[in-house]
Amino acid sequence: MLSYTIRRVLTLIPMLLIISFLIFLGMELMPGDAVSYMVSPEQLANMSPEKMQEMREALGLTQPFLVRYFNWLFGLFRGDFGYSLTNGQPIVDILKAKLPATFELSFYALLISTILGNVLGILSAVKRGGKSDNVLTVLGMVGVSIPEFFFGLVMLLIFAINLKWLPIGGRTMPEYTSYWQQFRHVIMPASVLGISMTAGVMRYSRSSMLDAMNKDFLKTARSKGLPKWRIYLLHGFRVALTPVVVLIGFRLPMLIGGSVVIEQIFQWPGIGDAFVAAVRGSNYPLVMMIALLSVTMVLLASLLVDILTALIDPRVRLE
Amino acid sequence: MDKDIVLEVKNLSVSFYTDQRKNTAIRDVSFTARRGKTLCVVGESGCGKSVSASAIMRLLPELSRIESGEINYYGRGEPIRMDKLDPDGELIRQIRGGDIAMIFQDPMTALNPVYTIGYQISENLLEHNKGMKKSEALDKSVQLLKAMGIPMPEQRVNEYPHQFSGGMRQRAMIAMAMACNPQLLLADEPTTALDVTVQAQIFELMADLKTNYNAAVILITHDMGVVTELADNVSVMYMGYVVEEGSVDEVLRTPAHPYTKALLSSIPVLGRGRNQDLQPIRGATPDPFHRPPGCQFEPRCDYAAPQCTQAMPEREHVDGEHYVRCFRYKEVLKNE
Repeated sequence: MLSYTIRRVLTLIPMLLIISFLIFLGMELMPGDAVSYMVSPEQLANMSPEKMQEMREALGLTQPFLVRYFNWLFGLFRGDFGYSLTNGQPIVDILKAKLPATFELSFYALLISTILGNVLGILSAVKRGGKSDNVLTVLGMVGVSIPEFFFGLVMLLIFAINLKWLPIGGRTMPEYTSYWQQFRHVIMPASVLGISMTAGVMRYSRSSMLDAMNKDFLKTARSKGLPKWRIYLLHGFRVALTPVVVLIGFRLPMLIGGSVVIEQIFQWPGIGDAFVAAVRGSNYPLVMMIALLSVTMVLLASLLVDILTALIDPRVRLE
Repeated sequence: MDKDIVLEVKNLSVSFYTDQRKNTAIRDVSFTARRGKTLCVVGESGCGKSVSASAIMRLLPELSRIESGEINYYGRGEPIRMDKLDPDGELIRQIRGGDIAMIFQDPMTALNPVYTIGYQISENLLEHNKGMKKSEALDKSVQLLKAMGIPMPEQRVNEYPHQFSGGMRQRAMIAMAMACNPQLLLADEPTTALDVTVQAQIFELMADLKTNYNAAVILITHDMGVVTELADNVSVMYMGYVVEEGSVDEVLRTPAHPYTKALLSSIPVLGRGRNQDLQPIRGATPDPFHRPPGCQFEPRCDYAAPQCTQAMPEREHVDGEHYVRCFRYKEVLKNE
């Protein structure tokens, strides 16, 4: 298992190199170049070709494509992530400012959806055909169908505007002294995001649990005289867990990528918001960096899913 | 009252409910399990053998119900009416796995794939022996595996079911069942999924268990060969009824029911060559929702008479422990 993990981590390196190349290539294929975004249109119209050439040279844009790619790549190794084209801020600083916010929001949302989804899913499966199962099935359907932005706006209207229990947006205020004051801000966006993700987890864990409950070994467990919770949780759910872990695992990249819609509605200063702004403004160094980070996260998450599945189910051999 | 009786089933009927229809899977079934004896319940698929076992363990599926009859368990001194217990209650849970253990048909699916064999045996031990330590339970599991003839039990105990062969899994399953020295072992076709040589080994093991643990065994099977090898008593089931019962000699040597007789003459005998005369039972088992009005076997029976279409015959005493449900059993017996 350890050697498998090490090998998997090592194979990440060539994969990441290829992906970084593809990202760089994608950016290269975008129309226009950096100069046209750094300079306002009026200035651009009045700029002499020599002046533009000068700027290009200053930015290193006249060098061949591969040279620029390797410069960028070695920069990454040295920890030099480049600078934002819109305000010249080092990208490291932008990430340092935005990532914790996104991570905080996504973490709570994942936590809510995982716990709530699994608990309700198991309940639904155990009480299959009963009243609570029917109610949960309808709620799940509604939950899957309602778009998050609508749900978010309704929540804002109720809890922030009418009841005034929770702040309307943002993440923190300068006058805050403890994390708990700041925590009030994350409650609503995390709940909206978490609850909209719950429906999926719930349907998944319900069907997976139903599957496990029909297995012969559950009857064996009952024939041993075990208490119900042991039969359902240790024998049923443990086996039902594998597909659920896969679903949750593939949502982990959200910790870095964030949710654009929720971050916009709740003015959450996260990476999703920054990513959209960067794409709009053709701030390609930042776009590349966020894309690369998200891809890394996806790869790590799939590695984690593989390891977890092997831990849950010994029949999955990691060789 | 016979002191050796561990379990007595009296006139038990169980129904399944589907889409407003009712199928009474077992009707008026009675049998007794005695300490140190094996009772074989034989019959074809769908005759109610497994339902009887599940009913005893109170492990029937949700949409089924015990309609009438009694299940009396005598293993704890005072008789316990098992059919009256809450199927999720404390007492039935103590009895399941502790007093009455069950072995299932397919050891490939009856063991949980994600836990080690040792964990699954220990689980049973810990549930029924309050205060037992985990390490003690694991040691006991090793002993049990050893007693069931599993080589290198110290190592095997930490392995998962998928690392075991079919026969080994069934041995592990039996080890799990025997963990708490049950009074009664219910084996539901324990060798159907195994190949013949392994079957023989498992039966040998079960024959040993009966004497070593002095437990009562109810063995459900459709294999007449198994019956001759292992049974002390036999109950033959057809369409939910016990049509004939008695000691193995009585039933196999002097079958009084046409069905038993037909079953026995439809079995090929090894050594008689390819020209032996096999007599399959004509027709097919009726659909449980469209049962014959009278004797359930009447449409397929060679002895059928007009009275057989009127009602299911009552249980009649032949001699000794031999009982039969047939109007014309005397003719059947005469016609050797």
